[in-house]
Amino acid sequence: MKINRLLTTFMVSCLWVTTGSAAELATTVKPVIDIDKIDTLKPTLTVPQCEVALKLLQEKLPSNVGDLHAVNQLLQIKPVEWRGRMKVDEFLGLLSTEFTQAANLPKSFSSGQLQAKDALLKYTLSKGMVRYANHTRMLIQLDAPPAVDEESGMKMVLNLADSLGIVREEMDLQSMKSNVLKAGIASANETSSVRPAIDVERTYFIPRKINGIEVQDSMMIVGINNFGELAHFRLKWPVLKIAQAESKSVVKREDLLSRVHQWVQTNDNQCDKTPTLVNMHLAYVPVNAATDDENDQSDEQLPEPVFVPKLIVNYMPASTEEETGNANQGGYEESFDLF
Amino acid sequence: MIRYKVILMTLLSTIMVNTAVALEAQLWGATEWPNSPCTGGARGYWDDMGDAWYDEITNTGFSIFGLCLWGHCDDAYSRDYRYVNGNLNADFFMETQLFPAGEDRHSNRVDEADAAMIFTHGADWNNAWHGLMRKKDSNGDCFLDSDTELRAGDYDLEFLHLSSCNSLDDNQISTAYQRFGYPDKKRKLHLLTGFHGCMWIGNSFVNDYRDFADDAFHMSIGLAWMQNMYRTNINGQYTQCPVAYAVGSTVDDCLNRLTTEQYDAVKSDPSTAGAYCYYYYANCDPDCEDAFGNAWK
Repeated sequence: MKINRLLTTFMVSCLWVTTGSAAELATTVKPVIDIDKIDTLKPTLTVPQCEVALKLLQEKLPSNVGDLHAVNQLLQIKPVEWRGRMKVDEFLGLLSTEFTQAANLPKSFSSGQLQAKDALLKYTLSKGMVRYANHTRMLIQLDAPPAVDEESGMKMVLNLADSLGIVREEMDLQSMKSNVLKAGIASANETSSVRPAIDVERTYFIPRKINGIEVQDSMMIVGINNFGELAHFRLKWPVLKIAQAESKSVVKREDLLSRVHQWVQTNDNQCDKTPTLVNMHLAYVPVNAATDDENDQSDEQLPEPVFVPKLIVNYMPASTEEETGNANQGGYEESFDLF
Repeated sequence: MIRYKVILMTLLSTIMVNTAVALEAQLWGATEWPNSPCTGGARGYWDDMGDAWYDEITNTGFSIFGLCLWGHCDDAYSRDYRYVNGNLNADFFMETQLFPAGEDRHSNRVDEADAAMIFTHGADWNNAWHGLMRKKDSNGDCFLDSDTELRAGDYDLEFLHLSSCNSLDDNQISTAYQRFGYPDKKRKLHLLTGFHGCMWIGNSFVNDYRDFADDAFHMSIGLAWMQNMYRTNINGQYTQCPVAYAVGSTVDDCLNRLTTEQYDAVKSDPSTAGAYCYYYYANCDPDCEDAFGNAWK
């Protein structure tokens, strides 16, 4: 990581020196590169130019990037305290009967766990985390019926979300995906298609959006078994608190574009070929996600997350595996400051 | 007085945690491949992703008189070995019984651990995963070849996680059990996890690896891998397709292992790999590959 950052810094420095801005380099960190002049910078670079990627990046850069008013709007979020909307009895009623009977839930339903014969419920509401797993309901039964249909399972998911107090508008139901988890089986030396695969459960993955903007590392995952029972779920739904921007000035479009371009050049050693996919969008990113300093801390210890809006770039280099036998490079993602 | 009590309790709880014999975890991988001929694009966040898993599986947390307040306490794995970049080459992982230069059961090598993760670029080559290393191995190439060189589990390893493109493609399923240890050995790897097609590396994936390790103490490791690594919302269009693969003496034995084995509930080694079974998501369609299952049509 550190070497990577050093390399990026070095490359940015090279560009600056070429444009004769050494004095400015000493006074500011942010590079401002005129995109029209990038061709003139070509000789100074020791890596491919990624010109194809640059054109794609220009096309994909969201229109509101660099717009002071639009970007500032992203900071105007009123947090929804869903924890106060939670209907505890209703919620527990959806889980194992053992939990419903155990009416000894702590008065301050904030952090802890409930354990039943086959099930475990863990929760740290200050971080927006609730997790449940019922081991009996997750077992595979060879004679079980097929997975529940998407619609009936979705009703259960929405009931669960309502009982937890989740605001429906924050559930990105358009991007929501449900998929059937299957188990393939075969004896050794049999090919994989000999026996039909078994439906294990239908899993729902519900991402989160606020005002149309993705919230990273926040989602609801729910598994409904083939008997229509809640087998497991994981909720990561912290109250969205926005971090104060360190700077009130907004990064210029061309500045941001050049940073993204530098990043592509550093990380894609075949970037002169058309990448498979390039996409950019805005998202709220938790700024206190796992860091090296917090390696030994568990979720319970980490501070309540705060978010900042950032530009997210997803980049999948050209696949060259089949023609060269080289390894696929894998897709990579980076977030860039808007302020 | 209260302060002394707290100190005393802390010491006692520490002693209680340390008296347990911990299983061992190892982390292997690379983030940069700058030197020819073993070149590849840099992926700076990959070690953060791997470390998130490594830190969580080894997170002892805190307990008082047997009551685990957070972390995994006695169930946590020990930090056995971590090797990132350096002279990463396939000899480190190569089956000792097959290749004289193979080191897989040497001290601080992968088959000496109980759970291990390898993160690196990968390719699907001849219906097998080939993981890109940083240096050439004794066989003269830059790749760890799963079809010929990787035979983990016959010495000790139980769980192997491959954070790598094409590490468990659908066309590898019918032969992947061969990676589960040298054939004439009674000991076998229990579970292999990987990806069908290309996977993703980035900051937003770091917590997926932490959550995976955490969940695998509460549900089957295979299911924890599936639910935390399946990503459909990478900008609303990209899919990442995890696969979890187990072996057993029979189909029932295999399914039992796949669905119930946790980091804190490790079963005895499968005596034979008479059957294999695997989790996948129906029609999962990643980059770099067709939808899962198309290879069999």
